This record gives sequence, C-alpha cells and structure tokens, in this order.
Amino acid sequence: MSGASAPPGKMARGLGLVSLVTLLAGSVIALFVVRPDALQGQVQRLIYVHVPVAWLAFLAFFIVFLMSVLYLVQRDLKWDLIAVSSAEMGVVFTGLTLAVGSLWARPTWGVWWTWDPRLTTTAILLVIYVGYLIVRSLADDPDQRARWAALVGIVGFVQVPIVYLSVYWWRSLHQAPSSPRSMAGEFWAVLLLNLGAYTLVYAYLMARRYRLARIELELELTGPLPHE
Amino acid sequence: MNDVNDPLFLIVGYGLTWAALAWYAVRLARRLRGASDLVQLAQPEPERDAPSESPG
Repeated sequence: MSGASAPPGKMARGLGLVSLVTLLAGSVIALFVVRPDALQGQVQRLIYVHVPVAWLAFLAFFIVFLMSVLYLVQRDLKWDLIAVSSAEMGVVFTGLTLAVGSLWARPTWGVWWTWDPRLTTTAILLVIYVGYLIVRSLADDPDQRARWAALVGIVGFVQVPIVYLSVYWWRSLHQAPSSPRSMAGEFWAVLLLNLGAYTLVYAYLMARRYRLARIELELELTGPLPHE
Repeated sequence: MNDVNDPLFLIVGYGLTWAALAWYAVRLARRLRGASDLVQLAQPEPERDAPSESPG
C-alpha cells in the first residue's frame, strides 16, 4: 500500500480539469443550444442530467458487482477498495437520479412522486446500496468486511436489471429507455455528450475515492498513531 | 403540463446536480487531506525527520 498518500499526479489533475470542462460544455449545449422538446418544452432538458446520472449509477453498481466477484475469487483487498469507492459513487448518482426525476415528474406527470414500478425499484436500489455501506461499518476486520460487502454487492446487483426492465415488465408512467430510435438525432448527440461528461466526472471522483480508500486501509493496518 | 416551460425546474435540477457533485468532490478532498496528514503522523520519527541525501 506504500505510496497511497503521495500527492495526486498530473494525470488525476488533468482528468479533473477535462471532466469539468466537458461537463460545463455539455451543460451549456443542453441548456442553451439544443432545441426544446415539442411536447415537454423546456423541462425536457432535464433528460441531459437525468439519463447520464441514472446510467452512471448502473455502471457504478456493475463495477461493485465485478469487483466483489474478483475479491471472492482472489481475496485481494484492492478489489474491495474499488468496490466501496464505486458503491459510494453509485449512491450519489442514484440519489441524483431520483431527485432530478422527481423535478421532471412534477410538471409532466403532475406529482413529485408516485409508486410507479421504475421509481419504486430505483428507490429500493438506493436502499440496497446504502445497506451495502452500512454493512461495511459493522465489521472491524478488513477481510471480514470485504467478504460481507462482496456478498451484498453480488446479490444486490440483481436489482439493477429489475430497475432497467421494470418499464417493460409492469405498466409504468415512466418512458422506456432512451435510444436513437426514440429521439431526434440532435437530442441523442447532446445526450451522448453529457453521458461522456458525467462518465469523466465519475472516473475522476473514483480515482480520488480509491486513493482515499487505500490510505484509510493503510492507516487501519498500521494501527493507532504513536502518540495515542 | 402547464409548468413545462417554468425555468425553475431546470435551475433546481442542474443546480442540485452540480452542487451535489461539487460537495462530494470537496468532501473527498478534505478527507484525503486529513488521511494523508494522519499517515505522515503515523510514520516513525527518524523516517519523518531524516535529512535528505545530498550528492557527495
């Protein structure tokens, strides 16, 4: 674990700068350049935030699933540290998905919240991964913590395809996933730009969060401070 | 559908997202700084205070 506390490299700073610039450019184009939707008007511009953060939540939880499997196979704590970093990011992005979705629902559906299948399954997804983070706090031993968390990370991932398919399985107010066939080319291009921007933000924050996780583990394995 | 052109929903939606990500990034930076300081403190005295090597 040596070197975890070294200052961030040029690469991390560069990634942070690129992600910030791309996010600003994507947001300006989404808010001021692309046309508003013919039916939903200006509020449809929320799609350029709502869809990227929802997809990143899925990606983050997929990474948790993948790293959990790797940890159980190899028993290397490195995989667990990537998993917890991604789980925390996934919780942030799922919370944003629900909040921005609620803001979009009010003017279009007439309600802030309804027990629609997509909304309900997404709320359950959030609870599962908050639970993942809570489970981690229950174990003192790093290996035991990683083992418990890996089990939750693998079982909990079942909820992701349920969220995705909920609009097909049950009658839902929520529209089906966006695709080039369901929206005009310019809307799709701006959506892809913002998806790329938020993915860069995710990559940057993941790098920072992983570094923090490594330092925290290093401190945990070193034991209490000499003067304590 | 009367409110679909109300800019307030966009302002709050984008503002909330940026604020949440900025808050998370700042919180991460603070936690990183705090943890790095603890690592420095945890290092044994001779290693921490050792003079840097000079050529010759």
